[in-house]
Amino acid sequence: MRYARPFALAITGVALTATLAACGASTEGATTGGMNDTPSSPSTLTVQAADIAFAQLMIPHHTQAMEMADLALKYGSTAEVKTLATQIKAAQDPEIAEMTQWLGGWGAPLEMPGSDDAGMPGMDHSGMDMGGLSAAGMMSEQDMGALDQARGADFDRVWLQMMIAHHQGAIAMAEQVLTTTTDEQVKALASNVASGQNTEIDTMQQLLGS
Amino acid sequence: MTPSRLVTRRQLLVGAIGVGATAGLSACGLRSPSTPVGSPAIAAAESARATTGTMRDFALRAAPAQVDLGGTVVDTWTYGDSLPGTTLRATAGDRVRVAFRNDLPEATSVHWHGLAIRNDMDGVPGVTTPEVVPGGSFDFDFVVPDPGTYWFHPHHGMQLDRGLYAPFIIEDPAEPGDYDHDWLVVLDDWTDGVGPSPEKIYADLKATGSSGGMGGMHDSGMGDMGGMSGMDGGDVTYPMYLVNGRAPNDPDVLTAKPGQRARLRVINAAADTIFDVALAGHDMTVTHTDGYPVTPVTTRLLRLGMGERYDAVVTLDDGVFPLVAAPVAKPGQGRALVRAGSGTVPPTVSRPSELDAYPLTVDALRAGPGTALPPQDPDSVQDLLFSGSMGPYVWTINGRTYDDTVPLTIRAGQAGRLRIRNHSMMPHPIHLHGHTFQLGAAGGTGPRKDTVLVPAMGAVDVDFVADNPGQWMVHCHNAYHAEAGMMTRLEYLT
Repeated sequence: MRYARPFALAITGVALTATLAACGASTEGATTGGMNDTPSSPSTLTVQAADIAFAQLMIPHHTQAMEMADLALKYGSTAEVKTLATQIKAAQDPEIAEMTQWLGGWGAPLEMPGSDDAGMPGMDHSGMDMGGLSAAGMMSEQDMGALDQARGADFDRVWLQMMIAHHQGAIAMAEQVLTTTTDEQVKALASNVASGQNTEIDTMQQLLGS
Repeated sequence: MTPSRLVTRRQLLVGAIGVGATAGLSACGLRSPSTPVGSPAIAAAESARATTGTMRDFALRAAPAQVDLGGTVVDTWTYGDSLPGTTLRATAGDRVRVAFRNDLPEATSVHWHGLAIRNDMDGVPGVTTPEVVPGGSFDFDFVVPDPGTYWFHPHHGMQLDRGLYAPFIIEDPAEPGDYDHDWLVVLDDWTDGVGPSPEKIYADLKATGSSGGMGGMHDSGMGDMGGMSGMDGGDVTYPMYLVNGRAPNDPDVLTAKPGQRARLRVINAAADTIFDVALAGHDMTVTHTDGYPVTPVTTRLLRLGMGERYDAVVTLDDGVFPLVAAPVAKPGQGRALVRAGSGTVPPTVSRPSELDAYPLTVDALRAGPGTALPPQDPDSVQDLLFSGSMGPYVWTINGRTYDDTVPLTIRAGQAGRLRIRNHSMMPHPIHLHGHTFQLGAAGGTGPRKDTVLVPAMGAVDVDFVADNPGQWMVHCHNAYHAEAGMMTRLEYLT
């Protein structure tokens, strides 16, 4: 469970491809979604690089969600939490398989180069609390450890909080790739992630507030 | 030397993003006249505010002062000789008059953070309100429209990172008051008089950054953070963290009886530090953020970005408990003590297990009843892209520093949406003056806020109603980032 840092490094690349069209000036009168969504003239290479990065990052992101869902099936104290966990697994497991297949088809590696943090000194700096400030809603090793230790109502609460943040990260990544991709299968999956996980966030917020 | 301060490093990473953003952002300008101070629209908006008819008069003075930080007496600047400054209290709808006098050796201003007041009283020199020269004064006069936990501070250079801050509590006439105590918990990161001055730190960040490489950023003790940690909480590690203006070895003591309920009004007044807050051995039920009610959520640990406020209710056990504020991704701790009944004072070094809990952030919260904006599709959608670089030390919005900014625009009465995109590897607390936006979509479930901590690489959409004409700052509430350029304006077109 050591995604936090390579994850952070990797999504930088995604950001680079996506900043190209941002225009900060007024788009007064623009409708939702506006004119800022379409890159001016991205090269095919850039577009596919963003698709590849998306899949390479979303696979470990989903994998972590599966691990969190497994913990909920084990330790969740309410039917609602277990039902959600089952739902999340049912949604994300096939998506992992699909994205893995894309990468194979594109001839791209499953993992982004450098995403193995062996050889990245400083990652696990002893005594330095990274404070859970990981990117894209990825949980740190410490977060996952805390979740693994929690039980009862406390488990449910922490799990819901974490999964909301995790989903927010996935939605941000999905919305990001939707601004660049021209690939219909990427569009479909990213749209599903954004809408499906938004609905789940709504449910989880309601459970937290109850 | 000040071994406890270090400047962290992530030049390559955020630097690269900055280049990308800059390259894409040229030729976006299209200017129209905006609503200046003196516009009748500002006075008209003020006249339209509902008032109680009550007038509250305050005197406020900014001046050099000595503050005792746990035995270390430092020279700094404060409001009214205390740290934090004396809390101002009024009731929603009151007309507030503040006779402000500047006895500092340099010009200053007072900004009323979070209050949606008339634009020409917002306290931003050069935009809304004249700066107040040394020895000068300014009479503020405005109606405070909305109840809640607010605060005030200078909007002038690095002055916020001295002792110039104080709470501003707007009472709610309809508050059920389901608690026995109403406690202020004001958090700060402190260097003035203990480490280098804020101005020196900023100058060092600029100077080291402008050397262009990593070479100048060698720090003490943590050299193998990998050069660009990417998960930093801030750019500066402070020698001291304060709760209610007190050092950890001489904490503020909040006293109650076991079983009583206390409302904590937590304000992050720090310049460069995100805090995780916990009361040892207790759950906290979060009830408000940035003045507005949320659907209550219980947590053991609460995270606040700079400028954010959270209110939480706790039911007190029997004993003495540290109320800790741990700076995120930095060493050190701020603390107060809650004394409810008997018990011994816990040692200063103790680290409550709550700090290992997962912190509650705004993601998990929903708007309280009656606080959502009217459901409405936005008339105007604008992007706010945050990026930056440690070398050179430059932080930008939409690829531009403030001196070169292309302001956002809106027309009075419109529904606005800001699409906030953080394209940097550190979180930024984003603050919009003069409005309290709704996270997500207007009429949706997101809470109302005026300052939102946007995670590294995170994305947040916020909706607002353009009901307060003028020219309003939009900026990162990291004082160093703001000074290095991470600010723009939202201007009402006339």
